[in-house]
Amino acid sequence: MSSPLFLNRIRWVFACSVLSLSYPSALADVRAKLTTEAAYEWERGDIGKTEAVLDLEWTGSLGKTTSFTVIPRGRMDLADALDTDTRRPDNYSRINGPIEENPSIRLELAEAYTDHYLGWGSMRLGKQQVVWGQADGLKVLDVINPQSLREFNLPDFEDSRIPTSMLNLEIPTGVDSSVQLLVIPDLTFNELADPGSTFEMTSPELVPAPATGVPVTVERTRRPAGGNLETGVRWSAFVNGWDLSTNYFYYFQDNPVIYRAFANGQVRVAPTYERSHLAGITASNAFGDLVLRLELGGISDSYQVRSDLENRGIHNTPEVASVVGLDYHGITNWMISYQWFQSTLTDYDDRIVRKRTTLRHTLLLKKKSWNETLETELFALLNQDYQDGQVRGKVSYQLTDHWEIWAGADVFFGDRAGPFGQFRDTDRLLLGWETAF
Amino acid sequence: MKENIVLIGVRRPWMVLILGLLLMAGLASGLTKIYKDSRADAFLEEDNPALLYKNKVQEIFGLSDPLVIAIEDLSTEGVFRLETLKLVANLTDQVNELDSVNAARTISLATESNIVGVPDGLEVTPFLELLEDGGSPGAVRKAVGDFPLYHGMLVSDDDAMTVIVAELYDDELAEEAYQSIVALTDAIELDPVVSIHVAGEGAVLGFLGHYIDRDASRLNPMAGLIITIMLIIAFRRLLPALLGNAVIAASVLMTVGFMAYSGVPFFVITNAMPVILIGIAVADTIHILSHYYECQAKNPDRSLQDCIEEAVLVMFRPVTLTTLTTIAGFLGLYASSYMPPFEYFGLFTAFGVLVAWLYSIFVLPALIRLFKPTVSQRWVELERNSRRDVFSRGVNVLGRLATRRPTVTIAVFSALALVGIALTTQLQVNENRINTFHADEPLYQADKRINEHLDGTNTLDIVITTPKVEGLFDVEVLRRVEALQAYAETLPHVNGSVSVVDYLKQMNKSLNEGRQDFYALPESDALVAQYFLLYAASGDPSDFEEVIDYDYRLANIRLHLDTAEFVATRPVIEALQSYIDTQFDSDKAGATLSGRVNVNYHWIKDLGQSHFLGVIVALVFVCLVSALLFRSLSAGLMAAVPVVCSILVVYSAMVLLGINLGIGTSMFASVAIGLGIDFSIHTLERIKTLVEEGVADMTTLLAELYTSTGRALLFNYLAIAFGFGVLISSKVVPLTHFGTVVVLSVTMSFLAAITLLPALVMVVRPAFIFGKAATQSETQQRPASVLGSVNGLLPILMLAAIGAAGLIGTAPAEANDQLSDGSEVAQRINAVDEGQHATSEMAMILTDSSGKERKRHVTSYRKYFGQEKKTVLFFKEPANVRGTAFLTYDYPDADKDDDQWLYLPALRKVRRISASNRGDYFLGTDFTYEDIKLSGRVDRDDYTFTVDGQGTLEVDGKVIDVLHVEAIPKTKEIADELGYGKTRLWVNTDNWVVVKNEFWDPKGNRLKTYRASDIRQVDGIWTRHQLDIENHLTGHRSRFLFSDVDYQTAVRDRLFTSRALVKGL
Repeated sequence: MSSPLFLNRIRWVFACSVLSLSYPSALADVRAKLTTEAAYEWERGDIGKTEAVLDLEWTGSLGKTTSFTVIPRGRMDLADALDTDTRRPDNYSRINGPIEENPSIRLELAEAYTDHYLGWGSMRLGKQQVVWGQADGLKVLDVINPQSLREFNLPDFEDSRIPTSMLNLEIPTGVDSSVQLLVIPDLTFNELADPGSTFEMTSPELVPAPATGVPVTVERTRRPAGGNLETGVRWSAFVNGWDLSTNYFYYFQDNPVIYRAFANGQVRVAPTYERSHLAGITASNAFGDLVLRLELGGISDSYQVRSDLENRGIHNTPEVASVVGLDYHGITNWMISYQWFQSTLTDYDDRIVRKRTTLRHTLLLKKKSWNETLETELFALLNQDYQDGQVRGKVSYQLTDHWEIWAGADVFFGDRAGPFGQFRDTDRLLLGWETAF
Repeated sequence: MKENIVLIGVRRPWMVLILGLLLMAGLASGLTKIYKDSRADAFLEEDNPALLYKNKVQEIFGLSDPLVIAIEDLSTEGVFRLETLKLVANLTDQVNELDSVNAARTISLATESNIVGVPDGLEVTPFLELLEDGGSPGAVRKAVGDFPLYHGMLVSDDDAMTVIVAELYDDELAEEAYQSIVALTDAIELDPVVSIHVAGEGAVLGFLGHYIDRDASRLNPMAGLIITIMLIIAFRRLLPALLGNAVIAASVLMTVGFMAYSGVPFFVITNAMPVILIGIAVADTIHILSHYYECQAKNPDRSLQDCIEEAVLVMFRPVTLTTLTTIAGFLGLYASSYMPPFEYFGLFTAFGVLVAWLYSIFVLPALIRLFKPTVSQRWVELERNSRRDVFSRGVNVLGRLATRRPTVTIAVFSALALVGIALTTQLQVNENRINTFHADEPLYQADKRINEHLDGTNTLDIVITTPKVEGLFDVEVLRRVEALQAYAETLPHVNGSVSVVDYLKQMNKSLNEGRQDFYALPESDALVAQYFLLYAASGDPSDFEEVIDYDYRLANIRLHLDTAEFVATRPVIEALQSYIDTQFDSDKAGATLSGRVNVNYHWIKDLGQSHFLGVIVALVFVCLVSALLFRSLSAGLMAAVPVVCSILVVYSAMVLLGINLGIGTSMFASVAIGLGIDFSIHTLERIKTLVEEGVADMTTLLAELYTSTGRALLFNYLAIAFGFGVLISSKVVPLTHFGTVVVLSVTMSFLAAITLLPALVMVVRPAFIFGKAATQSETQQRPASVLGSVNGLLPILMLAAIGAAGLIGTAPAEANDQLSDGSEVAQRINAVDEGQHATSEMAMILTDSSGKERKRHVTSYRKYFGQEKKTVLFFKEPANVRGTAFLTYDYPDADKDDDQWLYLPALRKVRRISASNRGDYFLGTDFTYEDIKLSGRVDRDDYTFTVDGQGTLEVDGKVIDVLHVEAIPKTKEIADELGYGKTRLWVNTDNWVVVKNEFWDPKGNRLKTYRASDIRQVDGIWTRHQLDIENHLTGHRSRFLFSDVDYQTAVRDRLFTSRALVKGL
């Protein structure tokens, strides 16, 4: 009875009960959002998703300087193409994860935190999302929260980020500057797509190819020992028109390192979550119609997959990654945004599967029309390594204050060995609507 | 700010030049990594099923695209002369010694064997061994004659030609192999009656790379030279030519370098790209230099810097517009292509055009600033004497002819278009790879010669598959193969075929005393198995590996065709496919087409469809871009008219000249559209500007149009025409055709743009040009700005959002003294007290033209930090915008842009946004960002204010005295940026609150009406509690209702930080 699932249920019910009994007036501020989306995968000629997500947001005050937010979430997907595994995902810590899950339904406490104004600063305590960095859709510093890769990178990051329980302290150090401290005991990691599901990872960069004809034993994923924490600090300031920040994060990488060793006629695979240091800076400023965004991060240990089994199939090297983004606002109601992403492994070995330098480009064209009721968006990403990428188009229309409908298409292209090209057979058309009340 | 950016090249020349050079060096360094890919296979995606299957078949049967060396002997004995047979033997040995040649697979009379039946089985003897022990060439002739398989394939039916077929280990070695074999054959001393020809797909592959290099090394300098000469003629100076070449160098080198860095190879068609970029890149240079020199010629007293600044400012818009449309054209090619070389061609040429724009707008002015080129004295004299040079005069004459009777001009072009439509239906899609080479090339002639004598150098494979090992021992299956082969040979251009059936028949005949009536398949499965066993015991078992696999499960039928013309091979492929579909649908055997001819069929069959799709996509792109740029759909359509005419004329010409739609010609349309639209845009833009400048008389307007823009367009046209014209002299035939049709198309676009378009404008009088006629009387009273078109634009002001307004500090009596001074009124409006800080709740009600309402609730805070005003809005309702927050810092220094941030809950992060988009509508309301920021005030730096009367107005049920103030933006740029050409304010003279405001857009259309009501004092400050604004163009309305306005309660500083946006309220 002490399973994480059970603990989660108890915790959730307890939190709701205490809050509602103690502060019945807070119950008045409850909102709900129901999002429904269906995807048709034309390559397969099949429905890839028919999903309904209900978010309930309950907010209120606990005195003059404290407020709380609780967001339970229920998800139902009748297509069963995105979830195939009935077991509880092993990426979650004991204090995180779904309350109830099967391939069709998932119930979870999406977020639950309190905000405290302390006079000298503010504190947000509980399960939450924290976003660092300036890049859109590309991750360099935005690694505080892990991510659900159930639909790869297709959902909005807000929806796919997995909130984690943490202490988030923000202390102003001047009118235009502040320091943020994070302490994260909740060691939850990326939730990978289930084996056999639509977005199961197959790219050799991410998943080592099994040796043919050799038996493979996959061990249970090794989680960090109890008592480990992730800690981060960020200083941000507004100086001479520049939004600047410097960041440091001591953390566990969100994907397990896939160690492999050959012994006794078989390959033993031992996925293990490993530590790393991340240091970075960001900057942004506006120059006329252009907004420049910069993000630079250095990772001390990036644990790259090797093509052989030396060093247990892993080569550990520092990595430097950066994003340069340019947003152009010069055309009325248009936003044109280009990003250039590069990542370099500084201690490269020829047997590393990925290339020394990875280059990606993104282009976002967004147009708002009819007093912002109609939004047309085109996003393209090119991954230069494999000449693969994705193109995503979406047209959404705000029917009323409470109803929105949209249609879109997600297209992947390029080399199947690439992180995007691997999904080239999952191109899909989307239809969806959302209502909030 | 915008002007500072545009002029950065003029104002900081060294910085821009160094940056430009660094950027160029960085990308151009990629040139060292470029590599060629001249394979036909490159035209298909690597995962194309036809290509994959062909490669698989090549792997199974060890087949590749061979080099064919033909030995022709015109003596009476033909090739069966001792000397010639020795030549075959020696040449075969020499070829086999080459490292790149797979000697085990070489086929010739020296490698092939005769099959003869002997008492204990089969005797397999090489043909040329018959010459040993005193054997005569006649014996060889007889042996070959008894072996039907080799008729037409190895030796021609008239015995005049025999071939050595050499296969390569790797296609990558084709060039080396071809060069070596040509060297070998050149070194042989031949009898006068003997000649050697080298051809085949392997040779094509091998020679094409070298052929392209040779062509490119001739064409590119030629294009550069021609452009240089043209620039010297145009400007009568050497320096402009050098500057133009600098822009060309940047565009070409950076694009090809970028391609290399991107890992994209140099395909056959990429050869056209540098030449095209030369033509396009120089066009921008011509426009900027033309204006620069014209400025000097007209105003000898003006400084050179003034002139280059004016040239850049004036030409920025048209050059940018044409760049965008050209890019749109090439992206159209990219978007509609299914073949990688075309996709990359479209994509990277678009990039090159962008580079040309960047260097023309920024680096070229920097160079001009540093080198200070001066105008030729002849130009000054012509200008001084109001004379025109021969080019202006020429364009003027043409223009006058076309516009004298505009309806006739329109009728002529309509007739041309109709003829074009009629002839387009006869356009033929066709391609033949050998036609890439000029007819003079030895390779072309060799191919022709070999195909005349032998079965053909073009191969089509049919792979027979059986479900089980040794399935091909089944006689029934073999009979179906035999029937298929027989059927194939009845098809046109199929002159011969080889399969395992031929070998079995030959063995059967040999084992039956060589009797011709036994040249048939064995009767039973067992016999078939035995024959194979016998052969294995007597000959080399690998002899059959080209026709059957190791397990006897798969077999290959290779057909030889004497042409690779798509129109000729298409019926063959389709007939065979149809036969296979009906005859090979059983469980016993299946059949699949493969081989070079089949792969070619697959990539050419959709060429026509892809081409027309490309035309449509490119037309839609350029129409949309033009419509967007002129903000008029009719402008987009009108701009496309000359281009459509030119394309139809080109189609007609292609039909009349017998040019097919092939690789080279298929990409002309997207390119021609992207280039041709430029002429339309320049023409329309100039006509529009002239109309806006008040040139009402059409004769004067046209004279001005043809003298300035017409001359520049002529040189623009000549640059492109000469650039592409160089391609006509290319030895790569598809490029010759491509150059021809593009030159024709651009010529038509140019002619139509300077004749048809002005005629259309005269007849149609489109609203996007003449729409502002109503305001002409006003505009004519104002002097033209440096940009020449500030007129017609009238100013405005704004209104607000958050809710404060003000009490006037001065008495009405004092105000009346200032009634006539608009600037003073503006000052008083801005002097209205709005409190040091304020908090309010705001409800926004947005109503569209159908009456549908949307509501939003916002809490707003505003506070002054010295002269700096900070405002923050937190959206509370409805759910879809809840959590959104907007923060702005408004600085007192007019030259300093505001800073703005937007927090979107969906991103969970604060986004810096540009504050220069002042005219954008604020979060779906009818207020612009500038309106929100000013919050009831006016910007005296943006407008000129004039009091034009006074009157009364009813507000909140009371009639109040108001002043009428007209506000006009100081420059066209400001008007465009704000989205207002003029505003008219009603100012309450009691408290200097603006109670009503009418807005007109920059084109003079009535845009919006704003009203303030429920104006009452809160904490002693006049506050507007209701703002209504209606957009007359869209019918959309916004109402802002303020409540809980509070000027007393302190507002915390920390609310005006980006972290507060994240935290929310």
